[in-house]
Amino acid sequence: MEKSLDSHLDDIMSEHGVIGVLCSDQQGLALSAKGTANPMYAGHICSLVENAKKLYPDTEPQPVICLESDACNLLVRSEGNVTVAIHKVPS
Amino acid sequence: MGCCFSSEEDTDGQRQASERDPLLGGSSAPIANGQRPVDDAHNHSSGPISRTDEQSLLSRILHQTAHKVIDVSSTEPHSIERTEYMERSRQYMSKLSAVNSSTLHSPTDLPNGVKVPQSVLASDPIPQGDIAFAIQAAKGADASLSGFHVEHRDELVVQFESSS
Repeated sequence: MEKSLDSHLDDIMSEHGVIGVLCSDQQGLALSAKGTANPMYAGHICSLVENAKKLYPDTEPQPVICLESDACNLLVRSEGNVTVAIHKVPS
Repeated sequence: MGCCFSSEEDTDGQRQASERDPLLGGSSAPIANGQRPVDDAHNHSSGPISRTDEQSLLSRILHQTAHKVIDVSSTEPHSIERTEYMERSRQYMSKLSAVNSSTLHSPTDLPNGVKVPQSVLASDPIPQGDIAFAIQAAKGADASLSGFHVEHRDELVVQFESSS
């Protein structure tokens, strides 16, 4: 049953510049993590999403959160009951 | 003259005059001579009582302090042999190195931040393609999890057979 999610995350990992991907539910439970993503920090990422929702409560669809750094960018997006965080090297 | 402060000032003045006697020398000799009998009489009259009071106060403070102080040296002697000390030190260091290597090393989860923020701020914003990619990835993950549920295979409550 989780094969579909795994294959989807593999597809994301195969994209150019992607070095890690993390998928978690709304409560911060890590469902799957690949590459440089650490499942221990799914809760932190979900709290980022929750705080972003508080900043823009009426915005629909929910915004994409991007944390920039020297090494890579972290793109976080929540959809339905799932939150996806992607480590992507800027091209 | 009727207020308390004036009388206090008087006694203070007498006390100061007697205390300053040696420093003032000959110029203040008449005053010192005039004050001395009074001071001596005052000391003789109130000396024994105040001394006993002071002694009792000091002894009480001493007792209270002795109650509060914990004598560590009497409970545990600090006598560790040098060889034992070295052995313990080696043991602690080995345990600490094992802990350092196992638990303190964790892979980075979030980006480590930006050393030169000017370059990031001056650079172009995140490309729209990346944002669209994140949106598509989230939608795909949500769709792939739409049929996700826990399969019930075993009994959640296991009944233990009673031995009786």
